[in-house]
Amino acid sequence: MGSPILSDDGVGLFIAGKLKDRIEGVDALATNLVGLDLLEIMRGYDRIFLIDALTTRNGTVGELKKLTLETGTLHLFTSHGLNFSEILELGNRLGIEMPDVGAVYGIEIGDEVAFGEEFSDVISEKIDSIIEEITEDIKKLVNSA
Amino acid sequence: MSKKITIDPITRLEGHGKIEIFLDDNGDVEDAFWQVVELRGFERFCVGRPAEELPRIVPNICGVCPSAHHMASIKALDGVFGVEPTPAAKLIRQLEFNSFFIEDHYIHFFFLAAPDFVVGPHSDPKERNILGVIGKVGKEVGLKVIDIRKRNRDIIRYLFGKAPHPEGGLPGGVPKGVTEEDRKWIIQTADDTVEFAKFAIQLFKDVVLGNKDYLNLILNEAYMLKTNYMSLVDEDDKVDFYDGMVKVIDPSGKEFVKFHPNDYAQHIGEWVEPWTYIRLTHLKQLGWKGLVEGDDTSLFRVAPLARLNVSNGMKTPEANKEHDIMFDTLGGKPAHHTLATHWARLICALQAAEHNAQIARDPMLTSKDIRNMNFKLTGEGVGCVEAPRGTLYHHYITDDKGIIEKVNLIVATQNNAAPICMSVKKAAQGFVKGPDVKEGFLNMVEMAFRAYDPCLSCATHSLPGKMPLKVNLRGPDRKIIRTLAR
Repeated sequence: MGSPILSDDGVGLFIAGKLKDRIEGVDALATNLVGLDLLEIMRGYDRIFLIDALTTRNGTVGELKKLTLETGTLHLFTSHGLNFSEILELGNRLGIEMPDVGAVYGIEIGDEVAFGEEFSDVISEKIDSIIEEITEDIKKLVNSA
Repeated sequence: MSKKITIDPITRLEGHGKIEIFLDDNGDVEDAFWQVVELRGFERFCVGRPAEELPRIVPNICGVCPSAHHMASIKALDGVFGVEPTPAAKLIRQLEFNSFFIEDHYIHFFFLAAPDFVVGPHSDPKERNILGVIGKVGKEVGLKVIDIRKRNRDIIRYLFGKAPHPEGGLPGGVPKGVTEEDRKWIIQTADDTVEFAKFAIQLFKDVVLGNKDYLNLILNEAYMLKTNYMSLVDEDDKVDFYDGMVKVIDPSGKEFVKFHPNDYAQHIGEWVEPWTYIRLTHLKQLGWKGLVEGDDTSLFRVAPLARLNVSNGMKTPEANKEHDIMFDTLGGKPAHHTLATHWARLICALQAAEHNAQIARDPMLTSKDIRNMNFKLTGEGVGCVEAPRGTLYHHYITDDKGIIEKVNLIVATQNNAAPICMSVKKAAQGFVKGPDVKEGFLNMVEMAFRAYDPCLSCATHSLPGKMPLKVNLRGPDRKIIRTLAR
């Protein structure tokens, strides 16, 4: 998840693109949709793994964090519509088949996000290792299910 | 000793903003501001790019108004390339744009507005959301909203290739026509949407207008604001979302000016204040007069209530009937009742649905003449549409090769920014008394700006990631003396 024109904010989109066809039994989709659109995307899947940029107080840019639904980012908790946990709850209450949450991966970015189509030097340098780490973790979680 | 209450960040608002409420020695509200504390510089990002790239870039400004930015951008490109879209292309654009209006307006009503009215402004904040709404009105309504929204998204996807961030706009037309085969499901979707739109208005009448307390809230002086109003209107002065002239009325309802969108810069001034990053718009002819309402104000409002105030009615029959009922209830035009914006929003959605039912049956819809390629680069274009949140302008200037040299965007929330500040102040003065204010009353202050459906389209991330309502009480030394939080 993220914006394709907000520099490091789009790191989740880039990683999702790289994960396509990389893990057996896992579909990868890059999207900047929020709210009800996520419900449409997620319905019918067994499990969902989310990858997004985030900023934490005193965070180190380029750091990968594995989150629970109690933490998260404003993309996951958008105010215009539904936040992520509300989407799952809404779907469940309406009888729509919704996935379990496998994991939420957050990549720390700076708190000054400017318009741009290139990543910062730090994210560019670390992106390959982040992709590897996420790939291995998802594989492990999928195989252990 | 004055005290300050901060509501930061505001709940159910896209982007980052905060409300500052200043109390005087008696605990009364002395002043209040709605602040936007971010600056993005999107216009600069566009400079140096081929103009034809912009309709694919601007929908990514945010996830809330993509089709509105896309359509304004396409229309600006019509000007840059000196072409008029063919009649069939114009129909297809309107079909797409109406579909966007429908899904946007119902998201706002059911997810953002209904919690205040269906669940109640003083209810437990944990219940004051769509889940609480569904608990009150039943899950069938929730499923209906999801179904209608999805099917209108399917129209957008079918016509413009991708929803909600469309990519199909081209100067002079559209990239794809409609087949007779596909016309059938479009008619079915449009007809079902009309029925849903009527149902939504009836729900509003039953649940909101049928409740004396809620009706009194709409009519409450704390939610009134006397300003000028602006909207696009067609040749008959009816509400038009896609095209037409920009009409402005004064606070008494008299026409102040009507102008072609190309002339927007002659009529709209932008003012910078040190406490917000939003450039505050006003009527240039009157000059900047500050945050004042009444006959002397130079501020104008946009969005659904403004559309209905400015126009002589709706384009479609059922919506027009509802327009008349609304103004009969509110005591005539113009209505300055900010909360009536929700009602007007449902009437606009009904017009969009009815209009789509007409377009879907129009013989011209399946014409193959969908693009005018007779380009003549002019180097400048203005695109103006009614975004769901109000009048939106895109203005592009290019060099002689069509490379962007200058971009100016005036967005709906910018047009409403100063009135939002004033609405917040009036609501705060009406409902906040002293630092021990209860959460429900602070929510009633938020309701004043939520009616505008403001959108700051920010993608800033922070932990803990929830959107708490935090209230800081500060002394003159700016130190927090008490914090309230949801």
